[in-house]
Amino acid sequence: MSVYVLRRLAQTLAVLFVTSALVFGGLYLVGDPVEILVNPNADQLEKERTTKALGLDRPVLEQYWIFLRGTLSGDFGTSFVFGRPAMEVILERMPATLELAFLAMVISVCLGIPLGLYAGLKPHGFAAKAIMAGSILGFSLPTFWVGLLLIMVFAVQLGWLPSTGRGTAPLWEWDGLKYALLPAINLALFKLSLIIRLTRAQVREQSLLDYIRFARAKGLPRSRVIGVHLLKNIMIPLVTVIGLELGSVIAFAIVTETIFAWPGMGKLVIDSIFQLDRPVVVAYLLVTVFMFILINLVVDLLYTVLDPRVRLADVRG
Amino acid sequence: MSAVEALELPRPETPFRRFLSEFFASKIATLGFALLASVVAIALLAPLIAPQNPYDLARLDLLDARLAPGEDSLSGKTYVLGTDGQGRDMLSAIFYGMRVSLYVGVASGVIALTLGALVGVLAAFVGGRFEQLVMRVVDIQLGFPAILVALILLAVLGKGVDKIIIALVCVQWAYYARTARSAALVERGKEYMEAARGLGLPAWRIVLRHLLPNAMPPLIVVGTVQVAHAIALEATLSFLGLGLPPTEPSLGLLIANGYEYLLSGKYWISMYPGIALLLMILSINLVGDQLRDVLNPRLARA
Amino acid sequence: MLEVADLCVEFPSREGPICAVNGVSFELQKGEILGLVGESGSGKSVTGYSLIGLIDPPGRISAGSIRFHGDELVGMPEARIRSLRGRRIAMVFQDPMMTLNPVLSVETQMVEAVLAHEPVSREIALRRSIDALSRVGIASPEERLRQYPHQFSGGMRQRVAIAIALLHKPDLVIADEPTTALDVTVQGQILHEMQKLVRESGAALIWITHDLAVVAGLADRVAVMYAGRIVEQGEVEAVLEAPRHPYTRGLLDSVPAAAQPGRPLRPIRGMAPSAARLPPGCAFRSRCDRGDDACRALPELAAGVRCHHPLC
Repeated sequence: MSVYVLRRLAQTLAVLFVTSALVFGGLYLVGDPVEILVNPNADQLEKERTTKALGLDRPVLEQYWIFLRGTLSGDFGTSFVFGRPAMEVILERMPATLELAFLAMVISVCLGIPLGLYAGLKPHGFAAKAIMAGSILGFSLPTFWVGLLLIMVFAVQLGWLPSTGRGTAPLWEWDGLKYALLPAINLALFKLSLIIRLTRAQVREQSLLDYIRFARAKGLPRSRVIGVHLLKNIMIPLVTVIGLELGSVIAFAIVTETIFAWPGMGKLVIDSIFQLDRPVVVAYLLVTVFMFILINLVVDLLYTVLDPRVRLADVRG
Repeated sequence: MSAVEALELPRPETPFRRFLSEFFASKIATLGFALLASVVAIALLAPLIAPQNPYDLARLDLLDARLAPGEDSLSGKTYVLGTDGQGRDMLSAIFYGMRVSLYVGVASGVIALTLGALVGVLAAFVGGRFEQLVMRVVDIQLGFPAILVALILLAVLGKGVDKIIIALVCVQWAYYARTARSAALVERGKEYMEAARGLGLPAWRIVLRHLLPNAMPPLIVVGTVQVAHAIALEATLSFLGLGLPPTEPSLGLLIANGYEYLLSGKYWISMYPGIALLLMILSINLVGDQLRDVLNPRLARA
Repeated sequence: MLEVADLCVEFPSREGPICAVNGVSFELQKGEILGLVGESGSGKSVTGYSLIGLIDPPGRISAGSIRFHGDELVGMPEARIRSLRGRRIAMVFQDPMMTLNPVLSVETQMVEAVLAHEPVSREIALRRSIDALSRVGIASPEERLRQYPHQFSGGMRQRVAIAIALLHKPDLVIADEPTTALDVTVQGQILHEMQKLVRESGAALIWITHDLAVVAGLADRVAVMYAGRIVEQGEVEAVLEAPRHPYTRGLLDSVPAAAQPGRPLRPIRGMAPSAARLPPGCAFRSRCDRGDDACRALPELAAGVRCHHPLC
């Protein structure tokens, strides 16, 4: 088991390494950040000084080497724009993104599983058809457009909820929550539809299997057949997908944060890309890649815990 | 000898005819298909049916800018869906926008499918370390959210239709590769493959005429989902300012352009392209959904 | 104890409603073992499901009656049927791997079966489960309980399923091809166990199978089904030694073991009709050597045989 974890960690490092190299090299080709940072009226001397100060006059391989050396001591480069360590800037904004992502996941799971369950158990009823229609819609609506719509309806027309920013209050108070609600709903919509459809598909598939019939033949009450037998079997693939989607939600926050001006990592990274603030972009990537790999690992472990067939692989006569 | 009556046999049903009848059995899917057909028709015929070429700057009338749908204009023309900040007819802009969106989505889908399927089938056939390596790369690629990969690629590559197609292909190929490989593995284990090999058919023929037709259904299903995603992704990226240049706007860019007017009440500049985008993606998803249900052997014979 | 009369079970399909069970009637007394024999698609499993009330929509029992101890099961409210299921009527299925829930422990699955019908304490339910397991011949039942289905061999899993079925000492046990998925040697063991347990408890048993040989050693009576109808029924020895329906005769002759060395095998020619396109009249007509114009009318079940020209 520990060998397995070690191997995964080694793979993680390899992936991080390759990613950082690719991105570093790629961004190098994009453009000259100095042009953007420096006052356009500045003279050549000023530009040269800035270039030297940022270490951009060295060949790219040397720059990368300096970067790598820095990572060993926790230095991931200094942001061109902010003048502070890039990693610090990113980590500062991370909690806001994670808050949003977490809230969105909670919404989509707590709504999605019950709705999907219902749609799967009574597939021919009107409610089920409505749920499925809604989910296709939620699936097809591009996130950013829904965001615009939400702002228009709830913030502009109805004036119920603020449309931008975060406010200073924590999320468990209404003053804080009201800022997070629209972006979280926006972020959650796609995942919600996904979870509904997946749950329903699983329910439909599993309901046909023999063990359900046997459970009913034993005379078990329906609530137990569904709540214990069916649910436990559905949870396995569901947890896998939900876990993987968490990473996707964190990434998609980029769009939502931009629209709702939510002060998270996503907005930062978009700005950094346009401003050619390379260290920040690289730092963001490393952080997110690391998070994804961590999430994947946790999901794999969770899978082992949930499915006894994987956990206890030996078959005794 | 008993008198065996010739039983009345129905007309033999080819798999394709059966597929068609099953597909169109659902009213929603039929609706989706009709919608999709209209979208494709509009996209293909845009230059012919649009009232105005919105990118011919000489023909625009700035005085007609920001008109609401149907509002009287100074030049006397009626703009069915209003105009944008430059006086472009929204209806025409939407038609052209659909064209670009569809082109990008389908082109990237087709290329990604070809590439991915090739890689996947190859991996399944060659097996061994090669297959392991390839699938490892695929898994890692799939672990990254699409938007991130596309974002970085476009930041590096810059703007342009071809660049965004490249980015979308890079994002999608892994799905096709994985699907193709699973399908290839399943088919490889089936008896008809052994039979074909037992007949001495050359490998390429087996792959082309036996394996691919059987592997197509899951690929098609993945394909429809992916094309819908690609279109949505491209719209998102355009909205964020990456990918397509303003000279060839897709629906996403149109929505982005209209964003600033939203809060001042000129909703149509953003809204209608948004609805068009929604209808496009929705129709693909409806069709894809039904395709998946019809082609899925497990659910079909419940 | 059990009276089935003119049972019809219908399933909708694209070509119209299909009668999987088309007018089946039989009776069962306490302690009897009835073998229900037929090919796939003959409607034997569906008959079994209808007895335990597991015909789900869109399928439905469209006609006929099932009387269990005098109570009519067709149309009975679900709550009452559920109280019968597992307690007075039990069922064992074909593939034990998928019958037992793979992600729940055997203990969970047995204890819940006890508690579903009897509000006893968990310890007592546990005790009963352990006893049930040892009665079906599973060694070290306390340890086995905590394990999961995939840790058992096929034969043992089926024993667990049987143990669960017998937990409440039901009056009727329906076994739907329980040994088909098992090795031949294990098959024999399970058969023997079932017979013993059922005789001990005085329950009636309906054994559904496509294998006549199984029925020979096990059952008291046998009913042969074809295309949704019973074509022959009677005492086992009588039917097997002197079958009166051409189909039964054909079944017996086509068993490879019955063939004489050096002579060609004798399968029944043709194929079973698809349930959606049943010919009018006798369904076996197209495969029968004795058929003639009289067979265009549906033969009635008379003296245990449904045929216009029974063999003598």
